[in-house]
Amino acid sequence: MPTISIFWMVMYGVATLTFFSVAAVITVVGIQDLKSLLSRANRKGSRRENDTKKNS
Amino acid sequence: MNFHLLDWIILVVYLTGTVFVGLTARKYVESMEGYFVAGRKVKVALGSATLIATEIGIVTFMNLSQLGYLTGFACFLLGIIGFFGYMVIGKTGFIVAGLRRLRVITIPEFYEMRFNKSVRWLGGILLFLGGVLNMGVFLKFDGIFLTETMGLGLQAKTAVMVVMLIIVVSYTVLGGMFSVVITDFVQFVILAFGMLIATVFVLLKVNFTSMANVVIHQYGSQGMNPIINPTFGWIFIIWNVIGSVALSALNQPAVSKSFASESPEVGRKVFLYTGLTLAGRYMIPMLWGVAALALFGPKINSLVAMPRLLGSIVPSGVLGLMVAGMLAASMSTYSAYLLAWSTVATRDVISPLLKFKLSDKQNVTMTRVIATIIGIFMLVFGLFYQLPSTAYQYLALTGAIYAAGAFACVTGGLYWKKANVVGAYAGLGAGVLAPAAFLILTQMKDTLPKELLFLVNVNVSGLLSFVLAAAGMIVGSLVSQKKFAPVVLVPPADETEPVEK
Repeated sequence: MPTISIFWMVMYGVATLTFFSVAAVITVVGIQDLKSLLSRANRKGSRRENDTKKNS
Repeated sequence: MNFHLLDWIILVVYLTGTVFVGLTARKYVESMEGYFVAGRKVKVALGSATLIATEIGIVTFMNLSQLGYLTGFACFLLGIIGFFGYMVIGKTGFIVAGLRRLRVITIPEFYEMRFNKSVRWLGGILLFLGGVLNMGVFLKFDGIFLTETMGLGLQAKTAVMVVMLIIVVSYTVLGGMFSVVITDFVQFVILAFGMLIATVFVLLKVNFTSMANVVIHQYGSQGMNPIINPTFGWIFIIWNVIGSVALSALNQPAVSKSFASESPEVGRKVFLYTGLTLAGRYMIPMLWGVAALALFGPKINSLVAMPRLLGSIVPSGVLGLMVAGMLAASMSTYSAYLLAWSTVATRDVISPLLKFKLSDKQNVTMTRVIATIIGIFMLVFGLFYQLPSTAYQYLALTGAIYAAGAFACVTGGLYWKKANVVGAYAGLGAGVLAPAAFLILTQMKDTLPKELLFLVNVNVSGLLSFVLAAAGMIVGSLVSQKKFAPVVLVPPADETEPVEK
């Protein structure tokens, strides 16, 4: 096999491994981020509902 | 047919779940910022997931695997160039941090701050037209991919396109960026899983040595070396190095994710983590294309090769999961693109023409209507338009229509004190010339005189667009400094978000 194809094989291996590793980390941490985003939005939503009730 | 009952069940459950999650997200939209940029509350990992999901779609799998099929390993260089582009932004915050600091929702809003309203309007039109043309072929590729992998036959392409469009438009239009962020995250997880499944089965079927042998047999050194490969060469490489930075920083659908982030620093990091995955997300589908070459030989339709490969090697049950992953990739791309381009049309093209100010509610309603119209355009364009070059080059060139001028204007506007309104007009106008000439002249290629044939070379045209736009900005600004003094921008002193109590 020519050297250049070994070079591309190594590049492919590194790139693919990095992709799936970063994807795994982002998935785990992203779940926490998503929870925090939705709970903040929920808190704002219920605060707004309370304000509306008070005003009426 | 490759699809069996179990595959259909997996697919229907996935699609129903996505629409349900997307529609549920409506309740979180409390304001215009909530609709357009998810209230600017997105953190690094979530932002990275949504950005990656936006940037990967069936269209990217199709165009990258087509390159793998047609050019062998030589195209892997694009993965390295793309990685470089994102890393420049991720490490330095180049462009994205500056724009996020100014709290813009669309790129043309910056044109108004730094130049004037008319530049915003012109920039908005170019951004919208380039973006919609770019997106026009997405649905077509999805139709080809899905009918081939599922074994439905190309006659089912239109029906598949219509169903996909209805699903994506429904939740994007109703839920805005909140829906996009939430569904993008779910879709990111599923698409990564789908890519893993496809890669494992491809590598089990065709090993790297036989792929290397086939590439050398079919393409010789050109299949390994991008510099001597006629599809690429130095002009293509230089164009792509510049274009990768410009398109990464100024692609409105992608950069919207940075605008939705908590702070400029988070926006920069989103690009950094996304950049780490970039070489992989290019090379993974490219290798599928090379594997299709090894399995089917060089004589089948280059766009059909990869989906046919996956449809034939991935077993039933797993195929349903993989197709759900690929669909997830596409739906997240559509939703982000639909939202981004309809936002630009509403805020930068239509609103400036109105004599009254649109309320928040009217803004959102108009965006919804335009997103639906863009969806219908995609269907019609996808059914009738024939590509003049490889899919990758078409996408890069239509991207250059908006990115070249925008790159000159935004870079000049943020980092060059002498940039002024004349330079902005010249940059935007000059940037669109070469790609527009290419798209028009390729339709009359045979009647062109020899001296003009360089204009129908997609690589020359792409590089020219950036050179002309930069020249327009520099020359235009320098010759008109006295008459049109540049506007000095003062960014907000502190960009801290309001603290939750």
